[in-house]
Amino acid sequence: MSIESLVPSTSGTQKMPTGIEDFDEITNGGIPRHRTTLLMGTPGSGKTVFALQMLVNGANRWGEPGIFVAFEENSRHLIQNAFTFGWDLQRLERERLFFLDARMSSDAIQAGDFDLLGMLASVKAKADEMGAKRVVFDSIDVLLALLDNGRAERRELYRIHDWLGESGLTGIITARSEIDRPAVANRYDFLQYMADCVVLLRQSVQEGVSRREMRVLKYRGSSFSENSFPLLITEHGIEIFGVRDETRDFPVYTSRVPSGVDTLDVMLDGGYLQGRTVLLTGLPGTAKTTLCGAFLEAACLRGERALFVSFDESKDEIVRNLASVGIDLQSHLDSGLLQIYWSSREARSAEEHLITLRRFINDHQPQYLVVNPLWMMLQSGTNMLNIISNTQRLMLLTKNAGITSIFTSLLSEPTEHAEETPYQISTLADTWVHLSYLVQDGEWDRTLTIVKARGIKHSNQAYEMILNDQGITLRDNPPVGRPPQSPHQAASSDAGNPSDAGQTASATDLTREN
Amino acid sequence: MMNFSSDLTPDPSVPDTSDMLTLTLYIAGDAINSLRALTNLRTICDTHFKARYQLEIVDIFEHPLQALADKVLVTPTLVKTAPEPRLSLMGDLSDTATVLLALQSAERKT
Repeated sequence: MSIESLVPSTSGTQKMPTGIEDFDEITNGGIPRHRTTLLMGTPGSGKTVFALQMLVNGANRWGEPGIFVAFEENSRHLIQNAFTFGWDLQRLERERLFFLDARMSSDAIQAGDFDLLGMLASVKAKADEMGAKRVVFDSIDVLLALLDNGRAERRELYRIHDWLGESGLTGIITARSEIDRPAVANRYDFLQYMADCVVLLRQSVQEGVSRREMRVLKYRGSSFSENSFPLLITEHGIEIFGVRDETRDFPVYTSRVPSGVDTLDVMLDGGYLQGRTVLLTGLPGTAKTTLCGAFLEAACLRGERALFVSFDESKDEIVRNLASVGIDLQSHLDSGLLQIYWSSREARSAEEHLITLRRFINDHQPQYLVVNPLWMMLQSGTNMLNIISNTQRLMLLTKNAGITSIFTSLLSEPTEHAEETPYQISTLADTWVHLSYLVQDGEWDRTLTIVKARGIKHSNQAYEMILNDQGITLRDNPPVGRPPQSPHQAASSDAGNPSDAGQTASATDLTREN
Repeated sequence: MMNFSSDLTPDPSVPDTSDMLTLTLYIAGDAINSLRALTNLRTICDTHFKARYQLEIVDIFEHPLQALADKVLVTPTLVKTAPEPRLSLMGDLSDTATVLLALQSAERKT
């Protein structure tokens, strides 16, 4: 999709694409051309990276040279930083980028009123010389602090604003926001009033995990999405998890995809709904991972692409454990049809996981996905509201890509992970399959219940699930015995509980049970 | 209109060139700040450094890329290149005491 097609032809404001993932969609085309965009943010929120990335993208993708006026960090330091994002600034600097080290030298003495006429004249001359289209002033508060005079500050801000309008350049001015300081807040009121587009970046730390977000506060003459969006600084620079993944125009399929278990397909009237999400719940040891493995193996055997996202077991553990129940993932890993993404959840935010997952999906283009378990992906460093909105984001991301997905969830988590009582997710999932135990004559039998299957004729009864070296089969008429235990009961009974050994043991139990 | 520059080579008629105050004033055309700086500087120099200074005036509007190369950003800016150390003063030089102190204290260091 081209950026131009996103700009309404009736729009009076010309847009300049930033090339920053999803920002151009949120703003319907980018920042306003020939105008001033104010980028405000707390220290460390990504202002400088954002501004620099806009310049680099302009030079690389659209052949638009740019000038970076650095009041704060010196340009050498910026160039060094940029290498971590894969931007070859030294190559660009020879032709399409110019860095002006505008830090006030330490020997400078102030002796009266001054203005920016000289600097703007110099930058304009340089812009004319190199045909620059984009200019960044980073960050303006350093300069304003130097002026230290409300009237002079406004005068100079207006000067920059007018200069941008006249010079034909498109400008980003960054400013450090310290909203808790009223005197400074006043200054920014004026800045916000003056700028044509105002973007706010924020960084916060929740439960030891850093979170960044982005919001467009104002956009003169243009529509924009007013929501706050997760923002990440990755090895590719700024990435925003934006509006594109929140559109609900995902493809609707009526076809079914095999679950990997023939008898389950029969009960689901043909299989899972293609392009939809399946919620798979159950205690540890109820063979959730096995059911997931069967699903992905079947996909790969048909020659289709699959992605296994694990926050629980490592890649090797998954492959080894599933091999013990006759599910061979290794050959599909070797052929490249299957990818396993394993991550420890420590110190990574849910937004980070989401953006990483989006990258995996874009790179690998899987048709089938498993996230095991879901809460580990979404809970770190976020509150309940974030968990719900991130769950929605994840489901829309996969649905929009037309991917048939299984998300697993435990049922015995503490209540603070309220997402775990899967009622939140279950409303979003199209199919909900629950696995549990049935205790009979001292034996623990696994059962499977289809709790919900939107748009599918299905049975609500509990089936006995049998695992052996031929794989999984469901038995139509479950043994008569004690009713399936609630998760709470199952968790609290300890004697001889096979679930004590957890998920890993479940795979090794299987041959014994046969 | 205000773009007059003087020769930077020391005048042989001045006996001791090491004492010579070498100044460059960067201005932005006929902006009020710049005109004020020029007036203030001439007054200070003629009063305190008579015949012991050389002044070059660079109009950034005329030589924008030179100012960039000289790392001069705000206008007006006065740069003292000799005697050492190099020193720059930003502003219209209306703060006479500061200007004088800066130029004199620097002079005493040599």
